[in-house]
Amino acid sequence: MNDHLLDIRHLTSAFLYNGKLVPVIMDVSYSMHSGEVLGVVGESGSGKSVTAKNIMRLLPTPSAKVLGGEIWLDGENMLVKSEREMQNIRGNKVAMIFQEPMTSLNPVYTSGGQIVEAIMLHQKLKKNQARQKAIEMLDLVGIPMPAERLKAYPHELSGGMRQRVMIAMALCCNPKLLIADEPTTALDPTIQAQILELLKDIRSKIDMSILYITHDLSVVAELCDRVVVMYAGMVQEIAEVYDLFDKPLHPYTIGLMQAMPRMDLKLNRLYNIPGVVPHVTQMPEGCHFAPRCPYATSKCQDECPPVMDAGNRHQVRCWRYQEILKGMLK
Amino acid sequence: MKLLEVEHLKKHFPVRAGFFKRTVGYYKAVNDISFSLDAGETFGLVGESGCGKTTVGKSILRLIEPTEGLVKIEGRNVTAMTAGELMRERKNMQMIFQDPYSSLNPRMTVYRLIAEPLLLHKLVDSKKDCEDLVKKTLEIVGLDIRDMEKYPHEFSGGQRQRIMIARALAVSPKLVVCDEPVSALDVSVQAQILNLMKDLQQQLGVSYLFIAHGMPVVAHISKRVGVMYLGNLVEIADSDEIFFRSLHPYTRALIEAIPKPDPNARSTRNIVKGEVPSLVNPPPGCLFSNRCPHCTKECQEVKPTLHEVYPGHMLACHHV
Repeated sequence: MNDHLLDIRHLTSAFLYNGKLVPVIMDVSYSMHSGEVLGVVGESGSGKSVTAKNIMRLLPTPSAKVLGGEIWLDGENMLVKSEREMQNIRGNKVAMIFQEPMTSLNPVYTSGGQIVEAIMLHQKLKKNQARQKAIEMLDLVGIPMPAERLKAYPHELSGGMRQRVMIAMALCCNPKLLIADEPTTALDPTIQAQILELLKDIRSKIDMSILYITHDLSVVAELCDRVVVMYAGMVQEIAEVYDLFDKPLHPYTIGLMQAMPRMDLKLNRLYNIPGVVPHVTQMPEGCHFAPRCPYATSKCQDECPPVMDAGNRHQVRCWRYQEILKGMLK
Repeated sequence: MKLLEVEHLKKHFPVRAGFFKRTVGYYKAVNDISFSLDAGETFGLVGESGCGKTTVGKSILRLIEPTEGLVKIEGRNVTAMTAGELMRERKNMQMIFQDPYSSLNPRMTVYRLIAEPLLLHKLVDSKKDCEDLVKKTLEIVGLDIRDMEKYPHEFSGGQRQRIMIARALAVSPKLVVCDEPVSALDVSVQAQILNLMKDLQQQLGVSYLFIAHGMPVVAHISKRVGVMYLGNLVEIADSDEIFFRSLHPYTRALIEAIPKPDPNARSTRNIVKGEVPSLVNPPPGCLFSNRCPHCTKECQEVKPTLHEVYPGHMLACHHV
C-alpha cells in the first residue's frame, strides 16, 4: 500500500431504477493523503454524495450495487468488509456529517445523550467518563456552557449549534477521516462562516483529514487543499486548489466559475451553461458534458475521454484540455 | 410615481402560552419597515433566516395581514382594500416561491397551472385565446410548448422554477415578489434563471421585489438593496454602494461571511460572533448590539433609526 489515507480506484456503482441497474457513478478515482482537506464539488446528481456513501457503505443493499472498483481506507478495502466490521470502522476510522442536522439528530433524545451513546458504543468508557468526554467535545466545537447544553434537545438548539453538535459527535472517536456532506448548505451566511472557521480550527488542532462535499466553489476556495470536480457521475478534473482557480482546464469547471454571481465584479449577465444535467438513464455516449459544452467536437460526442494527466498533479477528463491550457479556445 | 411604496409596515405575531392560550407577548417579525420601488426596477431584500424578509413580501401581497402600516401600489392603498378589490389588484402583483417542488400542484398539468390565473382574472375570452396566451408565456420563459400536457414532477428544478415564473407573469403583473427564487437551484441553473429574470424585466418592464439570503445573488440582480436584521431594515443603498461602501456593521459582516471564489483571498476574516437573539424579548437598544464589534453604551440603550447619511444611502447605526 502507498501512503494514501483514502484511495478510490475506478469505482462504478449503480442504483436499481425500474428493475434495471443504472450506473450513477462511473470510473471514479481519487485519493487523499492523511491531513489533507479534499473538496468534492459538483451539482446535484453529479455523484459526489453517492461516492462518499460508498466509502461509508451507507447505501441500501438491494437497490444500490457496486459494479466495480476498489475503496482503500487506511490500507483496507472497504468493499470486502462485512456489515459487522463496518460498524467498527464507522465512527472510529471514518465519520460523517450531513447537510441537515435536524434530520440527523434524534429529536426525542438530548443532544448530550446522543454524543454519550456514540462514545460508549465505540470506546470502552464508563458513562460518567463518556459524559466528561462529551463535554470536552462540545467545548472543542465552540458551544458555550457545554455542561448545560448536554441536556438540550435538538429542537432547543439553533441550526448552527446543531451542526456543531453533529461535528462533536463525529469527532468524539478521533476518526482519521471526516466526511462532511454539504454541512453548511442549510445554514445562514454568518453561521456558515463560523462553521468553516471551526473546521479550519479543528484541523489545526487534530490530525484528521476532511473530505468536504459541496456545490459551492467559494467554500472550496476557502477551506480545501485539493479539489475534485464531478459532473454527471464522473470525475472531470482534479487539481490543487490554487491551480484549479488559476487555470481551470475542464470546460465545466470554467463554466461553473463564470456562472457564480460575484459582488466584486458587476456583470450585466452571468455566463450560463446551457441545458441541464442529463438524467442517469439518458447519459450521453461520449463525454457526459459534451451536450452542454461550448467546445464539443464530434469526437467528444462519440468517445468519452479518459482522465488525463496535465502535469503538476492536475488531472482532467477532456479531449481538448491542451488547447484550453494554451488559451487557444475562447 | 413610485410603483410600490411601503410605509411603516409592521407584523407582530402573538405568542400564546398556557392552557387558555393567552397572548403573553408579541413576536415582532417585521417592525417598522419603509421602502419604495420604481417601475421596472428591482429592490433586493437580504437577511438571514428569521429576519422577516419573507413576512415583508407576504404582507405586501396581503397573503398575511400586516399589523400596521401602509402598502401602496401605484398610489392605491392595498392595506385598505376589501377582499374583492384585493382579488382584482392581485393581477398586478404576483409571487414566486423558493421551492419549485412544493409550490406547484402535482395534479395539474403545466397548461392548467398557467391557465388558472388567466381564467381567474378573466383575461381570456375563449379557449383558443387561453391556449395562445399560455403558449406565448411558455415561450418567453424558455419552455417547450410540447411539454404543456406534462406534470410538474416530469421537470427538473430549474424548469419548474420557469413554470413558476410563467405562472406569475402570465397575467402581466406590475410587481413580482420573488421569495428566494434561486436558492434551491444548482449554480449553473441559478445563472440561467437570474439571466431569464433580467431579460424578462427588460422585455416586459416588470418590477421585482427580490428576497434572498445570499448577498452576491441579491447584489447581482438588484438596483437597490435593503439589508434586514431581526425585523428591521438596517441599511438601504444602491447595490454597488452596499458592496463597496457599506456602513452598517451587520452588512459588512454579511459580506465578509461570504467565502470568495479565490483561494488567494483566503484570509483571516473577521467573522461575526454569536447568533441571532430571540425576538420575543429583544434588547432595548440596537438589535445588533450584542454581536457588534463597535458596540457602545449608547447602542445598548437607544435604538438607532434609519436615516439618510448620503443621498440615497440610508443607515440605522449610531456610529458612521
